[in-house]
Amino acid sequence: MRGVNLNVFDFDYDLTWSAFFLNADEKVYGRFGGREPGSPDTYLTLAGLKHALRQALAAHRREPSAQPASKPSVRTVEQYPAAGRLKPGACIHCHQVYDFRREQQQADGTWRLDDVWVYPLPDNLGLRLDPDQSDRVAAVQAGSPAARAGLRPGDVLERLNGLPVASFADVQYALHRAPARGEISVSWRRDGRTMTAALELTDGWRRTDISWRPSMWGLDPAPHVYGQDLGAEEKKALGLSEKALAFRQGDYVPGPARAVGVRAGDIILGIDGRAMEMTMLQFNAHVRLHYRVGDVITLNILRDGKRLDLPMKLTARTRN
Amino acid sequence: MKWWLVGGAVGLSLAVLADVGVKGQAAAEKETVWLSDYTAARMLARQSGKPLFVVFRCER
Repeated sequence: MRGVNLNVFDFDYDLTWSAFFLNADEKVYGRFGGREPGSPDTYLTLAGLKHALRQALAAHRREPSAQPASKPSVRTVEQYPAAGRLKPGACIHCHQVYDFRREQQQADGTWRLDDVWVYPLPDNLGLRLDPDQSDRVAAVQAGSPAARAGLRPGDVLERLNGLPVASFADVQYALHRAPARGEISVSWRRDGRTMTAALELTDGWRRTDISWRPSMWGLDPAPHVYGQDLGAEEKKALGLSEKALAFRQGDYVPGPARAVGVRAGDIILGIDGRAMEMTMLQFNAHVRLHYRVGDVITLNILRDGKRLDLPMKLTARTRN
Repeated sequence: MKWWLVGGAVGLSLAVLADVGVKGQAAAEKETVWLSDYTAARMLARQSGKPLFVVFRCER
C-alpha cells in the first residue's frame, strides 16, 4: 500500500481484492468487490463486474470531466507512526492500514470498539442483493428495515445514503459511511419509476462476523491459542456436537498460553465452562470483542482424553 | 502488495467487453494492457479521455 492515497482509494482494507472505476481527476464512478463472512467470492462474479463496468462507463460518458466533490488531500499509510517500525521499503499489506490507524487512534484516545464494524452488510438491513447485478434486490427479509422501507425483490437500487450504487462494493461503501443509529435515504427503480424511502438504523445494525478479517488479529486482548478446527467425525468421536468449538492447538504455542500450561496438540473446547458453538477464528474474535485486557478467563482443554481448566489473565500483545 | 491498473486505452477494451459476444471479447482481451504505474496510468487516461480501472490485490 506504499504511496496509495487512502483519501481516494478508500476501501475495505481487509479484502484481498478490490477494484475502482475513476477518471484522470480521481472522480470515483464506482467500486467492485466486497465480501460476506462465510464466502469470500459470492459477489465476485463476472456478470456482476460487467454490470458495474457498464454503469461506470455510462457515468463517464455522461460527465467525462467530472470532479471529485472536494480535491482529496494526500494521505498515505506511511504517514501513520506505526509504519515507522517497518524496514525501509518493506511491503505494507492492505489490512495494515486498519492496524496502523487503530494504533494511532488508541494512542490519541479516540479508538472505540464499535470502530471494528466496518463495511456493514446490506443483509443486516434485510436486503439480499443479486451477485450478478448487485444493485438489484434478490430478497427482502420480512420485518426488516428494508421491508419497512417498502423494498421488494426485483427493485433496482439507485442511491443509498446519498451515494450512487451499482455494485455490492458500492452498497457496502454507502453503508460504511452511515451512522451507528438513525436513518439513511434509499432510492430505487421499479416499473420505470423512482421511489425513495428511509432505512432505519437501529442499535447494533453494523455488527457482522469479523473473524475472517486479518485486522482482527491486531485487536487486544488475544486468547493466544489457535489452530485447526476438528472435523465432524473427530468431534463426534469425542462426544461433541458438530457446531461445538473444538480446535487443536498448533505446534507453536505463544508465550502467554505456554505460561499457563497450554501445550501443542491440546484441544481447546471453550472458556469458563460455557458451551460455545463457533469456529477457531470466531473464538478468537469472540474473546477480543467480549473481554478486556486484565480479565481472567479459564481455558477449557482436552488433553489425552482428560479435561483441564487453565486460568489465564488476558494481556495486551507486545508490538515489534 | 501488488496493484495493477488499467489505463485509458484499456478502458475501451473493457467497454467493448461489456457489449460484445465471445469473439469480440477475445479480441478485446488481446488489447488489454495492465499498468503498474498509477501516475502513468492517470496521464494516459487524461490524454485519451478514457476512465481508469484500478485493481488492488493484497496478499495476507
